[in-house]
Formats: sequence, C-alpha cells, structure tokens
Amino acid sequence: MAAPATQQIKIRCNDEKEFTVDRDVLERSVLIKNMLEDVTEQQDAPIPLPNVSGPVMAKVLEYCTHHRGEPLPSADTEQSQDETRKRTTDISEWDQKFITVDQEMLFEIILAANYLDIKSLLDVGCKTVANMIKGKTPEEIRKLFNIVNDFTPEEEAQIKKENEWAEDR
Amino acid sequence: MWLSQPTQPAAPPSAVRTTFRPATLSNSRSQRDTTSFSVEEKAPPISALPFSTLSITDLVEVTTLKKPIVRYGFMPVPPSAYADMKNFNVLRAALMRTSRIEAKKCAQLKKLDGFLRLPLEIIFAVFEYVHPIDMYHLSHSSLIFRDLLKDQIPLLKRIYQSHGVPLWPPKIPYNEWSNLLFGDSICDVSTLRNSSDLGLHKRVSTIRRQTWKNGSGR
Repeated sequence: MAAPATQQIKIRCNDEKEFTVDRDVLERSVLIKNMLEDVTEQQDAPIPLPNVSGPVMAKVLEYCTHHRGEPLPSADTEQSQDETRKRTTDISEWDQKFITVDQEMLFEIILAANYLDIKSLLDVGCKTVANMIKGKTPEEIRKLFNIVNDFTPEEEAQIKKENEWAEDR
Repeated sequence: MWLSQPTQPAAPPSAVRTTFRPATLSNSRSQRDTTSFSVEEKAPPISALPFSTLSITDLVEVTTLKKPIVRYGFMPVPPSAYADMKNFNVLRAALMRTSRIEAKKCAQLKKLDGFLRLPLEIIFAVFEYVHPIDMYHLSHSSLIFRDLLKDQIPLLKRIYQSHGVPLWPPKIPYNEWSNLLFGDSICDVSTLRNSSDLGLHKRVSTIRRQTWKNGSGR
C-alpha cells in the first residue's frame, strides 16, 4: 500500500494513553509496519498495543523519531553484519544519553523493543546491560544482580574440573 | 590438568598467532618508563592471548602503574584495585582492566536485580555481547548463572569466535579451557600459588601443541 509519508497513525497503549504519530516513525517497529501493511481499512481506529505502557511508549517514540529515515536492517545485511556487530558494545552518543534511565525503565524499554520488534533499540538496550556486566568479578556480579554465592565449598572446588559441561561437539 | 596457568593456545598456531599482539605489552612498557601514564588514558589493547612473550613484569604493568611494594614469595603483588584480579593471570588482569576502562564510559546502574526476571530470550540476547571472560565470571558467581549457561555451548562458541579467543581444542571441555584461560594461576595439585613458571609453560605448551597437531586432525 503506497501511503503518503505524512500519514498519521493512532496507537493506544495499555493505560489508555493514545499517541498520534507519523507513519514513517512508527514503521521503525516491524510489528506495526506489518500490521499497517496487512490492514488497509479502518484507518481511524487506534492500534491497540496491550504490552506497552504510555511512559515507555513515549520513550520508544522518542527513539524512533530520532532515528526516522534510517534504513531498516533487512535480513541479508543483518546476517553479514552479525559478526562485527557482536564484537563491539559501542553505543552512539545520542543513544547513550537516551538509555541513561533507571533500571525499571531500561527493562521496560528492552521488553517493548522486543515486542514491537525494533531491532536497533533492542540492541542498544542489550548492549547497555552487557556493559554493566563486563569487567566485573564474580563478587561484583553477585552485588549487581543481588544474588548470593550459593556454591558449597565442594562445588566451588569441583566447578573447575567437572567434565559434564559439554564436550566439544 | 595440573597446570592451571593459561598455556599456549593450541589451535592452528600460525593462524592464531597472527591475531596475537605480542609486541603490545613491551611497547607500552617503554612508553610508561618515559611518560607518566594515567589509567584512563590508555589500556593495552589486548584482544587475544600474548602468552608467548609475557613475563611477570608485564603482569605488574597491566595490573598497576605504581611500583610493586608488596611481595608474595618472590612474586610482586600489585598494590592496586587490580590486585583483586590476582593470582598472576596476566590475560585475565589485562582483559579486566581493558573492559573496566571501557565500561566507565557507559551508563552504569548500581543494581540490576530485575535482570533475572526478564524473559530468557532477552537474557541470552544480552549475553551475546559480553566477553568470554565475563561468561566465565558469570558462571562462577552463582548456581543460577551456572545452570543457565550449562547447555549453551553454541552461544559460548559464538562469543569466543566473535571476540577472537581460540576455541577449546578437542578433548578439552569448555569449562576446563575457560579455567585455563581465565582462572587463577594456582596449581591444581599442590594448590600452590604463583605456580606460573612461564618458561615451563612454553615447554609444556610446545609439547601439547605438537601432540594436538599430530593427534586430532586440527
């Protein structure tokens, strides 16, 4: 369906909050993009997004608006970039500022990006979390995730040697 | 496996060697002699395993910039935060230092206790980005992570490959290999610390390498 670039789409979040957004902004989300391509009628009714709340959606839309017009990664390019993409956890400056939020919001953004299928935003979220894990000792990791060291001394000694961890095949 | 210091990596020596940067450490040493050097300025870009040219002075240098004052036996203990990375594993100390400096540039939260409530697919998506040494530390932090990572050999393989760390050779299971690379340098038999006689390593690892070459079609 060839729609004009300025077409406005309404979405409704799970807390009844509604947004009216340019279509090309919303199409950063593969989920909504596919929806819009499937449904050609009833343009007035807002798209319900039962898994996303208003404040989170506002944040996600901020991201989508900033990155509008950038080419969406297709399946092919994704394959070829995969190798280099994973090696680096660099995040661009704007994204860095954007993702500097508290824990709850960070996880909500990651979940929303996963649900809405916005690959680049999901990457930014995952990299941010990965950066917090990187370079930490086991003790610091326990502190970060608020978990306890539940190895018994025997297990701790054994963990180095145990062979049940898969063989090489 | 009586020797827990990282041995010379086994995989095809010529191929792996090219990704090594044996010169990095000695270069940075000479730089440091002449200039005063702050931690933020530069971390030695160690992406691979430069064992063949390492000596104990390199360990001191990657772990601290001050002169060692504490001694343990004949071995100097770095008197810095990185003393925590202890036990004379040069690779571990260098990797930790590099990634700590990198992590400083990024947003950091004190607590992430909600992480384990996320769906598994997202948890594993996050793991795609961490370094093999972080996977090692994760699996040593708690049973939760250990059980989580236990059957994730394909994921671990991907992470090793994308970071240019040699994969575990045949007949050596993952956990033993990761322990060789990133574990404490403590003799498994005598539990002696600082068992790292790098000259001995070289000899042992040469033998092992030849054995691997002849033995297992790698």
